[in-house]
Amino acid sequence: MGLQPHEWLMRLIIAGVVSGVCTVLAIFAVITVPVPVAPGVSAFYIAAAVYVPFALWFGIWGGPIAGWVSCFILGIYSGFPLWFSALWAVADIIEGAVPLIAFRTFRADPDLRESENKGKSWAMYFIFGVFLASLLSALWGGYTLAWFLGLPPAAANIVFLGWFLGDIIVLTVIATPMLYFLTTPIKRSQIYIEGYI
Amino acid sequence: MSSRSFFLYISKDSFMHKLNPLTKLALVLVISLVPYLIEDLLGRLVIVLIGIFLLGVSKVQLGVMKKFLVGLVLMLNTIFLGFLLFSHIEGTIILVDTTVISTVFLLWPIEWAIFITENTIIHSIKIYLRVLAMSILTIFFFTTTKDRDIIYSLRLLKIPYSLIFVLVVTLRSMSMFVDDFFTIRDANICKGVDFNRGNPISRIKKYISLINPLVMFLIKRIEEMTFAATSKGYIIKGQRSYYWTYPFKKPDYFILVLVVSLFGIFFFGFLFDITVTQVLLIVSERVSWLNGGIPWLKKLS
Repeated sequence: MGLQPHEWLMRLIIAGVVSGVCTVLAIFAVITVPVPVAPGVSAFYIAAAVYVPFALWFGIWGGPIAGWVSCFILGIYSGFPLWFSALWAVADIIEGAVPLIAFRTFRADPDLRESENKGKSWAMYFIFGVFLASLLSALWGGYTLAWFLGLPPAAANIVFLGWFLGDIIVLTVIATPMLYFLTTPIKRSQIYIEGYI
Repeated sequence: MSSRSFFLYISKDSFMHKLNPLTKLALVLVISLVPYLIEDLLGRLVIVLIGIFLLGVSKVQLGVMKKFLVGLVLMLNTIFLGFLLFSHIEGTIILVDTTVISTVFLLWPIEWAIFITENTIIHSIKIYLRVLAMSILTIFFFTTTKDRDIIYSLRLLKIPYSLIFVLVVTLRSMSMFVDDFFTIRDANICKGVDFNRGNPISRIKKYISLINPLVMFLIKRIEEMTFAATSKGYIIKGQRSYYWTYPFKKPDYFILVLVVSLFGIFFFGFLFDITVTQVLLIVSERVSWLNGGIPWLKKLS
């Protein structure tokens, strides 16, 4: 891979810091705006507004890894078995990985303000970063509760809708301004990661 | 005066503080796993009481973490309500059997059947107790163990140092993030922003305005940590030397034997489907001054 030791160190620090922040935000979200039918699910999951942009800025270290860690810890403290928490937290890997893979594959610039092809950046962000990321993670998060924990189908539908719509709102209202205003200075910093790793 | 490391450590001169960090970690992990082996209500209550006992022995005054505890209680209540409302467990006494039709989402009706029996309540309480036990044990561990001790104990378990490093940074950043949030919020209050005034939407907007400076703080912290670690020659791979040593003493061996025995007993009970309630019932029936046992224990079994 060719990374220097200090570059590996930086990536581990990114993973640790973002994981810690997302864990705090996840627990806060579940306490303040829970979806009543299922523990551990929030209709205003602010952590998503952090690890989706961070996935675009810092690859897997800032997005999928941090998302999984925070959701796993949240799952444990929501009363889910360890094995289920590990499985359920894959929803947040999906939510971070979908925009990351899309942006890197189609070589889109996450800088919504100063990108050379702003139309492409905005379109990619809303299609993959907001809509698809929310949809796929909500499908996984809501229906694993039904498949593995026996949540009734109607309740699973409510979890799915609350998760999906809540993430769309959070990503649109919070993550979009973050990407718009902060991508330029972050790209100039030494910690921006252009690839996946 | 208490010293703070991750966000909960409280310096006290107690038996628990003097234990080897690996002993405490084993104690917490085993007792946290035991609720998964125990199905009966009384058994999980016993685990909670063990956790409270450990906190008492470690002389931890919970008053210093009031806000954390309030958040924890709120989360536990949410968990209880969630399992109460989404579990569908048959029972002899049906307390609630209704269907709620919601048109909130996208204007089409969604049916949600709520079915609560006495078994649903018991199931929810069991989950509540399991999570409560884990929370109490986590508080016990972090209030009696410094971050340095946690690193050393994980290292003794031969966990790769890179993973330990990420865990340490995660725990450290949780407390830093909370501190940064209050710093930025207080700075806004000094500028005249009133977070307590206005309707919920305007209050949310005010809090959302804190996100961008918080993220810049995060980025700055990541850069500073990286520079600090690199300038000190910090390496993830390769041979390491350790300044501190943690020898095992007699109390550590005693606690470890106790912990392994406890796990063995509960695992035995799990394998042969023996519950704590049944054991207590047998014991109570044999104790002469209880006059044939405790009635409510018989009902619970």
